[in-house]
Amino acid sequence: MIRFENVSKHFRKGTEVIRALDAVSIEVPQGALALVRGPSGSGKTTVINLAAGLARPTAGRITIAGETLNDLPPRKRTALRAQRVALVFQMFHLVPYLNALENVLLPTLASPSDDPLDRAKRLLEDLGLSHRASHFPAELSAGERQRCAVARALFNRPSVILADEPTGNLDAESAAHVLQAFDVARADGATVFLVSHQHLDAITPDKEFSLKNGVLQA
Amino acid sequence: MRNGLTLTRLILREVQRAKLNTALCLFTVMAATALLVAMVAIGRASVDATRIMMKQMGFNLLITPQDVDPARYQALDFQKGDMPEDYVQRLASSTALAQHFVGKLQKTTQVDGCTVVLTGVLPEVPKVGTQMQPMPTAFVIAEGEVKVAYAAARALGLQAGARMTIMGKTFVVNEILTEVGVIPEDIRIYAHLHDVQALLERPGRINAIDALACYCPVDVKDVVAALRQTVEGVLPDVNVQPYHSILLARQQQRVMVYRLELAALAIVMAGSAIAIWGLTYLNVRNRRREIGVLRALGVPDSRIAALFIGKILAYSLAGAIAGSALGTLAGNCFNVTGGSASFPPAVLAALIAATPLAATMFGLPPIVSGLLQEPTEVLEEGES
Repeated sequence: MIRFENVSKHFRKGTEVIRALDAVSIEVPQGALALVRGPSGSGKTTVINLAAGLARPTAGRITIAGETLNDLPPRKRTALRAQRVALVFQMFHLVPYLNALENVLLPTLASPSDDPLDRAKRLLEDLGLSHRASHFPAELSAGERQRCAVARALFNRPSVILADEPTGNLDAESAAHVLQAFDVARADGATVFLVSHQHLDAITPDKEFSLKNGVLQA
Repeated sequence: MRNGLTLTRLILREVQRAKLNTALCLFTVMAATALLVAMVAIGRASVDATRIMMKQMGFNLLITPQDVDPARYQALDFQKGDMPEDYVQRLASSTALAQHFVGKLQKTTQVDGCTVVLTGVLPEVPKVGTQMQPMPTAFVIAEGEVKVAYAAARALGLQAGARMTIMGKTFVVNEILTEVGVIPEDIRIYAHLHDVQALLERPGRINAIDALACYCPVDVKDVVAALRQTVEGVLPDVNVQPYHSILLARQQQRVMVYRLELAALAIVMAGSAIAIWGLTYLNVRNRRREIGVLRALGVPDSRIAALFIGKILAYSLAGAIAGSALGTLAGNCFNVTGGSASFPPAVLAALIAATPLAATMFGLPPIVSGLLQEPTEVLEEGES
């Protein structure tokens, strides 16, 4: 479950105050797939960063996977990401000197897992990447990199998946593959929270929100 | 990998990838350690060479009875004052800052119309608990034999094997000594102490102790005063007369090498600190997105820091071992002093153990700075 209650995030740039988010309230029930749409600069990435606990709101209250982030110290927010919340980025952010299999195994540095190697291999297979397991990110196509990043996000069976423009750099076919993986995760009970500047034809969100200039549109 | 990724695997993978950075880091530590080891080894060799040279120059400390007037002593008037023979043993067993001791009983006398200094000596007594080579100027003379200094032998027309009579007692000339160039050394006739004690009717007595002060801590400001204090602490009724030029030259050389070692250590440490800081900074900077990703995945900061520290520990340990070997080799190859260029193994082991800690200390600021950056900023940067 994800809940934003009147969440604002303001940045100060010199004397100017930038209102990245302004009194945003969102609620996504557990096991739902939500899509936040909006043009570039509308505050979508800020929503993801706040939900992941990577940034703190200026005002308002954020509850994710049953935990109120406002009350959690940095160490507990880190532990929450390690165990229950996963992130997928538009720019993939794979570690360049690790191969695909090792990138999928990266979450084991944060928290131990049963049979990690089998789990990682199965995820790569499910995402059609088993033949690319020993390839490094530079040897993968954009679609393959993003599928590898999704496999990494799914590794710890998170209850919440936060994805920031996950198909922004992909062609239609690759985008469909990635979105299909999110659909499977939703079917397995995870809450999937996507932000995108475009309409995603390959999925039917349970909830859809629209952001413009940091304000939620009706 | 069966149990997932480990920090070690991640470090090894990064080392394989960032070959240039790793090679530069390794080279920096290796060069710094080698430079330090070689400089210290050569410095110690120069101290050792000086020690040998100074030893060849003879004793640098004269200990006489307290009532002896130094001026009369210099005028070869040894009539007044004596002290027990066992003073030599007492000094050798003490903590006095001197190492080699020779007890002497001497008297200026006439032999066949020539002025000579009859000098009775016992074999040199080294400091108790040490195994030192005796001074080249210390003699072992059997009873009934004499060693005749160069000028005295020439004046008396003596050769080795000849017989001569001193104060009514006949001696065999065991050796004619080479020319020293100073009086009274060149007019001495050395005999066994007990022979001279018998001739002068002063059994069990001596009137001088030659000593060599060859160890004095470098932090002692006034080495003469320190020596006097330690000797007079053992034998309160003696005079300590240093041969200043020999004594101080040695001490100054020791202090100079010590300061040179400190300067080398400071320069090497400063250079290494800057290099390691810079290389770690570049490594952290190049990997800032990786840091952001690891934090986003929930990897604790301590484990992320361990990735960088682990790498520093690995290359600095390897660099210290290789640098120590290289430095020892270089110290011996470029040792121009003639002394023995050795580096104490215990100090070398301590250096190898301390190097990774120092390198970690130098690399820590950029690592901490990398961990303090906002992950949200770096994650918005380009593709990987």
